[in-house]
Amino acid sequence: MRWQKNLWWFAAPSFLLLAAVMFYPLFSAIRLSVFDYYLVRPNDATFVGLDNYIDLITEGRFWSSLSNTMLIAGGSVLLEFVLGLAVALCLYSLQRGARLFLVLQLFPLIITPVVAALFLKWMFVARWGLIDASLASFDLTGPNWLGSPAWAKLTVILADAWKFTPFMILVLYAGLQSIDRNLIDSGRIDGASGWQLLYHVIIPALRPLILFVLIIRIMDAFRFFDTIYVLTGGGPGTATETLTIYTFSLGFRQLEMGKAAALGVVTLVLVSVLVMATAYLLYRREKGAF
Amino acid sequence: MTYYSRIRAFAAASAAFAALSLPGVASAQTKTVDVFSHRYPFSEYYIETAMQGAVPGYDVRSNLSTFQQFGEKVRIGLASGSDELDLIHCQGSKVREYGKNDWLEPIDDLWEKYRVEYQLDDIPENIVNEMRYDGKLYGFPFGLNTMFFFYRKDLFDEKGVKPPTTMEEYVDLAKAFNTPQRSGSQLTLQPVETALNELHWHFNAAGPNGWLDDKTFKPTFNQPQGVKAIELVKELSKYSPPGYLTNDNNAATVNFQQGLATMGLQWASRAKAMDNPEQSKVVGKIDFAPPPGGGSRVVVIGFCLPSSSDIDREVRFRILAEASKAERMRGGADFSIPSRLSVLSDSEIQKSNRHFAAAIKTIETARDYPPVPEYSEVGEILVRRVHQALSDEMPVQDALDEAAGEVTELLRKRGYDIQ
Amino acid sequence: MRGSFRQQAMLSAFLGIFTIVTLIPVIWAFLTSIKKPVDAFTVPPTIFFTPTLEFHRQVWFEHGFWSFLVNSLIVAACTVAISVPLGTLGGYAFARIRTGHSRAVLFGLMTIRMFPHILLVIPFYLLARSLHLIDTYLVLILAFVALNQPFTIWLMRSFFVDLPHELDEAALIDGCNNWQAFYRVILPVARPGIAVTTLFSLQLAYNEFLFALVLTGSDTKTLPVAIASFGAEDISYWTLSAAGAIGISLPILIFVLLMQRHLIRGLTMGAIK
Repeated sequence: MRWQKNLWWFAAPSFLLLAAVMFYPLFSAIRLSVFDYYLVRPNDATFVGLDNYIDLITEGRFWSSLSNTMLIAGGSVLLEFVLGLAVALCLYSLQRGARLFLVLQLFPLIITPVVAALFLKWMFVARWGLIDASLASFDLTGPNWLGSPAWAKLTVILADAWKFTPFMILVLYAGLQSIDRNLIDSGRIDGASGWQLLYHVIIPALRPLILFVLIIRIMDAFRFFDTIYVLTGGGPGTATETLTIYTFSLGFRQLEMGKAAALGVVTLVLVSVLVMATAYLLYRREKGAF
Repeated sequence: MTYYSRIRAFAAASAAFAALSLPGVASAQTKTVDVFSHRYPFSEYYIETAMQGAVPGYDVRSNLSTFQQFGEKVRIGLASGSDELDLIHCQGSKVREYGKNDWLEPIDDLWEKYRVEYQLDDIPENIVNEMRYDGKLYGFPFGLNTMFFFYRKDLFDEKGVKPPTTMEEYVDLAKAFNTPQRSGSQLTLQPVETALNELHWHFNAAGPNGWLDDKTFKPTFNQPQGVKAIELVKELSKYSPPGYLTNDNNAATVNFQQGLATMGLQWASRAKAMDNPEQSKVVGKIDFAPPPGGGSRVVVIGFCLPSSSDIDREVRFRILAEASKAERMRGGADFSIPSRLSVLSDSEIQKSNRHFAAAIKTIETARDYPPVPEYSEVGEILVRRVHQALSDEMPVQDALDEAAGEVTELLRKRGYDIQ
Repeated sequence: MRGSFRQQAMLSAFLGIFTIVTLIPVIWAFLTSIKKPVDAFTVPPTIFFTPTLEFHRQVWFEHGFWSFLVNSLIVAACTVAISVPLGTLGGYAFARIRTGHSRAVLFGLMTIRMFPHILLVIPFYLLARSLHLIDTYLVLILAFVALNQPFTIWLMRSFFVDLPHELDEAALIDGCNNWQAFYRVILPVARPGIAVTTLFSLQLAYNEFLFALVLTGSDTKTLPVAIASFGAEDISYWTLSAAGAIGISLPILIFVLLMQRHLIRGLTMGAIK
């Protein structure tokens, strides 16, 4: 409709700001990916075309960090979604006191990630972390939370879930509130069980929100950095080294900025593909909602 | 006012405020000298106490952060020629790294100029030389830190044993003392530098070749003696608290203080913490000895002058020289082994720091890293592969061979001729 | 929803346990911050101890956390003050313009969020340095607004999508121009959504660490940067950093507690879809 054309002006201030502030760094970072840029000798940077990309793809470390990222991101998003939906449903069914629980549950989300990571570290560190120390008072020993490659991955997934499940709870609960009560009531009258209601009424009604929340979490899970860095540093070895940690290591430890930038571009492409795939899967038939 | 006009007013006010906080004008009265370091008692003492008021007209401001962050801030700042860094904490290995990249001011002339006034000859020549790269002096040495053996004397006395002098003895004792509540030994293998410190000792103790050749920097860690060293580490890991692969010096200190570990390698700067009743449950029970096999790390620590700073270099040197005066260094003796001979040999100081005896003996056989400026990048590769060997992802020989290949490739890329 | 007493009781019990488990790390950190180091890391954990507020005192009074708090508040408030209005405008635009173009542009904006933000730090730092903006509030505010803008726009958009076109059209027919239609008719209805977006923006700005680390110096250092500098060598620093960590979390927790009414109203008014 015609009146909508003028609305582009509404978006203009945001654009101008982003253009002025972020586009240059973004393009400059992307541009770096085709250079051999050793931060110590910035003047020796040479154009190398796609060499950085080829180096990355032929090294095992890229593939292992990719699989770690998929595993950790997939595991956490799944856990957060299931837990978040379950808790949101409980809150929704609760007649009194939902607000108290909700506000208390927001705490992990609001605490600074760096601080949250420290708190979690004191839970999981071997021997005197809270978990191990508590188990010790029953003469039990826990698994090697941070030191075994397999357990470290699980610990990182738990850490991410701890921090971000409240986000899921918050948004899904809000969505539940906006479902038309009549739908649910008439479903009950028709004799639908709880599970059928969930599957046929609630989830479809929540679909746009679920999409939003999954996409945001997928994007963020790929960018997840602070917590892993403090908890395991990407270790042991490279067991919890995700794409972002690998990027950090390339750029800030090995000072190979060109290669790090190339990895960044690859991450960008990967996440875009995932996001588009998720949107497509959830909205196969409808076109208007996204 | 409606909600939104309130928001707009606030936005306007904030924008004005933000604009007002554009770069402030530095006061013309005193200039600020920003000193950067990682936070530990040594740097806190020297920067926040010893250097204060050293040169009139200059305010010394302390900027402390964690070891990792400090390293990154410095690298990024120096590489981009930032004038924010006026003085930075450095150790011998960093002097070589930054000196090679031309990020530091040579101070030979200033050393000569102030030699008499500040009695700089009190600092032994071989310590000063640790702050040189390519013949030029880049850093001012304030002290030494070294790693030696911490052990529970009370437990040893009970069993009637003495601290081990060879690696094999160490492993045997670790096994003997290992219980579910208290590990026989302790390993700190968090990447990169923490792990490198521990591995440096193991490689050196295993044989004369260490992990890199000192002259050519060719990797020697995948030779039989190196493989043996890592096999030994693997054996020791059975008697160490779990999580040793992500254990850092802090966690290790806590383990000792809480009586969760019987013996292990640690920095001299942690010794005093063992006797601090606010932190430690084992006050008076920990004793110190040179590490079995020798060859642990010794570093000279001090401060350097970045060349991109905008503060006059002579002023900065004088701040350091003032802070290094004997009276001030006596205060710092609690936190590191002092570089001035007069302070080190003072009997009172020796008495109040019972670990000095072990430290001095350790230094006789201790070595710093091979003097390759790219030691950090080499270390990153080596530590990663050793981790894989220790978690059984690949056999020790294979892991070390892979690492040797990657290190050789890296060093060749940086211009070294490795055969 | 009908609920038997038993069902409600079970739900409450489950939620109660879940909440407590979620809060354990926070509670434990608080306890750590009031213990002496020797009690803080014992095996088994020490439950009875003599508390001390020494570390909290040191954090605020000796290590200058007050000034860092002021910096954090200034930067967070300014960021929200700029980001939320701009994001609301942008969100409205994208909610109403439903062409393929707009979706493509929206997606383009999101790429800023998909690119590893540690790589944006260095070019941003170099750009800021050449403009002599390091260690100023302005550079931080600009960076945080820009980093959060895509998220803010998209969140507001999802609030607006839910509002029926009829509202806008009615206003336009009545003779308003676009701005008036937006300002007088749509905005008041979207108020709860703005509350939610403000919360998230505030949280993002207050907690942003990496950019703050690189772009601030001693004058503008924010709390997350300050707290991170304490995870260091001496373990008395750890109880100190626990005190600092709790200290940093307090302002924003208090803010949420104060605002929770508006927040919950925003959520329960069916404003998101």
